[in-house]
Amino acid sequence: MTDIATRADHLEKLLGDPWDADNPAGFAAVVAADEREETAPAAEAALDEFGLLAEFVPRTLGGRLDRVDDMIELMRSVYRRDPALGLARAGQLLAVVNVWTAGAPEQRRASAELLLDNRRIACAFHELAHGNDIAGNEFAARRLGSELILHGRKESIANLDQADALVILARTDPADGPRSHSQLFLPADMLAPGHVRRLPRFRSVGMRGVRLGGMEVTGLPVPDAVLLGSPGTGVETASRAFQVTRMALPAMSTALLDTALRVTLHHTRRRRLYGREAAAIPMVRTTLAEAFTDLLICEALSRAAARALHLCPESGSVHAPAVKYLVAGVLTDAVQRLSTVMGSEFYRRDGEHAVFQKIARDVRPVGFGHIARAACLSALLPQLPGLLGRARRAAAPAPAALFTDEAELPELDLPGLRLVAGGRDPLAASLGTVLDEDLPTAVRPLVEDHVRGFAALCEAGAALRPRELSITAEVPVRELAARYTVSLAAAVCLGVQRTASAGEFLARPEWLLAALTRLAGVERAIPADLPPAVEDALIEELMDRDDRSLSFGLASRPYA
Amino acid sequence: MTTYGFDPAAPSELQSWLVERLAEYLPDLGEAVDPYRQLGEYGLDSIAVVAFAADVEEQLGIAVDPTAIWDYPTVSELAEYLAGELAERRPQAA
Repeated sequence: MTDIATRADHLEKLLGDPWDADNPAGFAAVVAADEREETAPAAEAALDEFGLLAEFVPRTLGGRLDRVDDMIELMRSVYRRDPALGLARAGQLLAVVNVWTAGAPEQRRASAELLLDNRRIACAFHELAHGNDIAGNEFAARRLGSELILHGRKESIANLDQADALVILARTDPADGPRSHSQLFLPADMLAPGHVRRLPRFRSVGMRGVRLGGMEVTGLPVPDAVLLGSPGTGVETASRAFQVTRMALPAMSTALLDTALRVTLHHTRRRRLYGREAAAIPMVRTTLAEAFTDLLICEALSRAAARALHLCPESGSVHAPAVKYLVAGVLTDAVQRLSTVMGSEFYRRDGEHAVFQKIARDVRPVGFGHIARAACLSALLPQLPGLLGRARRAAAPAPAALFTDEAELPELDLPGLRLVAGGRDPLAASLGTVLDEDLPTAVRPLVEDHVRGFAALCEAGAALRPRELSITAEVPVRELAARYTVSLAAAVCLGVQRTASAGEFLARPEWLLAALTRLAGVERAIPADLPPAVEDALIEELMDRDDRSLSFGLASRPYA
Repeated sequence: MTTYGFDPAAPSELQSWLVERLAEYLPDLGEAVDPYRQLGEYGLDSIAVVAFAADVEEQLGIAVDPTAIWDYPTVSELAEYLAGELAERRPQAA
């Protein structure tokens, strides 16, 4: 089970055909489990049999993680069936990326052993009162001799009640500031019942199968060996480690749009309205073609960003919030638009399309879980003047390995990730060179539009005053950061089309034209229509993949 | 390739430059930043710290993470740290 295609096929087979009503890990079982606020037990068992958590453990520690893009693609097989099943597992990634970044050898070994044994590690960072402002967290670890005394509350923590270990963010210095917190790696058996009160489960609208717990800890003594990394480095470690998860989790979630699209096709290709197949009604066709395009955009951007973590790790602090912001927004909107062509069927909790209403709820946390889209703009904004200035001064083509179907990548170096990019973003820098490339004629005017838009953004960036970049930034200024993410996505789509093998769908100009049109529309109230021939090409490809049970994303791989 | 309007290897010149630069981030501050006072006390939020670090990196041409400002939280300490970093880089600079 070494190569990713083999692993993905194996996982697809274990989880089976999601449409099969008798499949205990299929859509029917998933929807029934969701009604009980659970995941399907057979699906959990299949993931354990596969040893899914090994995908989060580096090879050097006995796992199968060597590439972030592969991990994401594999997880889409889980997310496409049940996003809650996916998130309940991927939630552990949030904990262990911190261990891989800053953990001592024995902490790394202990974490690896747990995950390789299908056990759970919870990431206990969240405190409802502080949201994404983790430097404001109050849960305290006060030193007393060679012990730490823990005190405070952690809330809305995935898997907390089932965890065998926890990674906790705790305040180790009462002073304000980013050096006041440390991370702890705590075996769950240290949570002595006399000092720990479990909070009732937090209930949610979507992702109901993810068990969200909480705890109130009062004067719990733990040995200081639980410190993960040096005291005071808690926020810094998270700032590196979470670059992986902030892009990986939204990237895995593109599978929700695949399922929403597949269910919509299933419904509209079988349904006859006004004497014709519903899928042939122009408004329905357009919505399907646009959603397919949106999916390709999201996967292109997230794959390039995931590979950039290996290839140009200095840009992770920019790419992570960019992926989270744009992908979450595009996915949420696309699922919403598909619900309009599902008609009343999108609202049903029974019947063969009931999984749609679950997807429509489960997609929402992509926009705020782990980090909110708004906080992503806040993270991008202070880097914007440097990024735009350098992109303008030092235009250069981006490495082809960010875009190609297959690519060799250097090893991921988590401690080597930086907290700021120093203006270096190969995707942004490539926009100054894309017009020099051999572009399909039909696409050139749109590329010129995007390049002009980026040049205008660079002008606006050069005029930004430092005082405009803080948390008090005005809406139009924050909008510049949003536009930056659109420019990155346009650069990536150009790169993917340019480097695709001749004869492949991705080498054709139609999808690129559609993608650039959609991206131009992100900034407009009314997006431009796709030309009919472009729409035809997209629909033909989409129907063909649907008939052949291939994924709708970049990989176009076999689905069970 | 970076050209400075001051001698960046001299902590005192670097310090005056940082004070000047910081004024841009703290528009409501009526006085010059005290080089010996913690920057946090001036209300420089975590996002502004990232912007300031990126700005300093851009101007000096050396990598400056926000952690440098976390660990050297006064202008005086930061200037000394940055001067050290610059001196280290000098032999490689073209």
